[in-house]
Amino acid sequence: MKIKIVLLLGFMFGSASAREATQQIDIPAGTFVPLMKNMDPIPVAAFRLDIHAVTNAEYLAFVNENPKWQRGNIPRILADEGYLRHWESPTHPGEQAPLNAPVTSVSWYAARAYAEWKGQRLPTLAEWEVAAAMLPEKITRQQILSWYAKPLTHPLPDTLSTQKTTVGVWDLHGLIWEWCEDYDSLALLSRAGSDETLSALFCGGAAAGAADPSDYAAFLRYAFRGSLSASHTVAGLGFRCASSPKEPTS
Amino acid sequence: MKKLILLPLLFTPILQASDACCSVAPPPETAPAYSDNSLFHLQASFLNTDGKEVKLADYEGKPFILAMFYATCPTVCPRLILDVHKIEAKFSEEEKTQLPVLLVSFDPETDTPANLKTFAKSWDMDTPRWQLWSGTAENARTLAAGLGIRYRKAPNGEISHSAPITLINAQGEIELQLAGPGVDSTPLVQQAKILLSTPSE
Repeated sequence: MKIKIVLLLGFMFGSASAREATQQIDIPAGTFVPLMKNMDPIPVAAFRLDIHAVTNAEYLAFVNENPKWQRGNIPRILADEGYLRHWESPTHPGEQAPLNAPVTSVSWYAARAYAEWKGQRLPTLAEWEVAAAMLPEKITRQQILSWYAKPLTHPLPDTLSTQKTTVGVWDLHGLIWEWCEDYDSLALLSRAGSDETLSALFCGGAAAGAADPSDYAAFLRYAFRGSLSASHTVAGLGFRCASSPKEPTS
Repeated sequence: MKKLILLPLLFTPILQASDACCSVAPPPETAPAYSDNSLFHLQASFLNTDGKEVKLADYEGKPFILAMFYATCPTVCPRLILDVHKIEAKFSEEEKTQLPVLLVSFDPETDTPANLKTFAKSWDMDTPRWQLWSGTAENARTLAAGLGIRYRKAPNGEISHSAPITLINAQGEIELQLAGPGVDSTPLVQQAKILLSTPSE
């Protein structure tokens, strides 16, 4: 019923609806145990997270209101040449980018600009991992891993189409990769230089240093994030927004 | 369950309607004509040690040396600052006046403008030619991303970070980057001297 009311209001207020459309859900406080044993567990305060990734339709509303983030207007330092490349035109997603599918091929800067426009932010890596660890019922790590092994097919499926976690967040596994605020913070040194944390992930013996060697999917996420720069765009990389609760949750 | 399946279908007409309502796009913002790779495009403002709001584009038209640090850093940052001092020693007084140094903090919570003012004095920094900025955690992250710097604040407050020293040209582009303290600075010095001898428009 609540959903219907939101939709109705959305209809009445036009473009504002796109900004309000994505429902956020409370994620209880938790602890993120980083992949490598030599890192301390990171406490994560309760926060709110979008129940689904930002869709092409939502991103369209953003670029319509902020023309400087349209394809063709954006300087290379903020997004590489792949930015929204699958969209038919700068203001028309088209067949390869269904309106309810997650927007991808957006840079970290673009994802953050969208979140800021909504008065929100990207989740931190620790927050994202805490939310993603609440695995959907009946989903095993092996199934998550098999998704990583499968090439993406385009156009991407809609959001709200895979699995939801025990607290009701959809598609954290099985649809797209997602940007985080500090996406590369666990891979230290500079990108050009050698990187002990990251290179350890590519070494066969690295699992010996992992907090949980069975979570191989986590290895893949770390390696992927460590390979990214903020201006990169990837066909299977999108984002969702988060926010801090206005009042402390009891 | 039905509701959730219906949700995407229901959204479509609304979003299309909202698109139609806004088909008259607002006029394009007049973007400054920075080059494609200019860091001046980064949307991040900071506070200097006088508490004044500043941004990277304030350096437009002159090359400068840029590094990120935090004042309570026990290890890398002191070496980083010493290295910048050593680099400076390779320039004439005249050249130095044309080559400002900017240090931006990873840790705005602790490194308030007042704290950084004290820090600058304790390090005998030639202010205001040397500038120390802090701002918000988000803006520090924006600048770090532009410079390819990775960092992580541990629960105990210590920040692990890479520590490059970057030469930025008058257009705001990364001209040259030294990987960190202890690296031979000759290429940076040479390049900076070339920039200083080339009159900018």
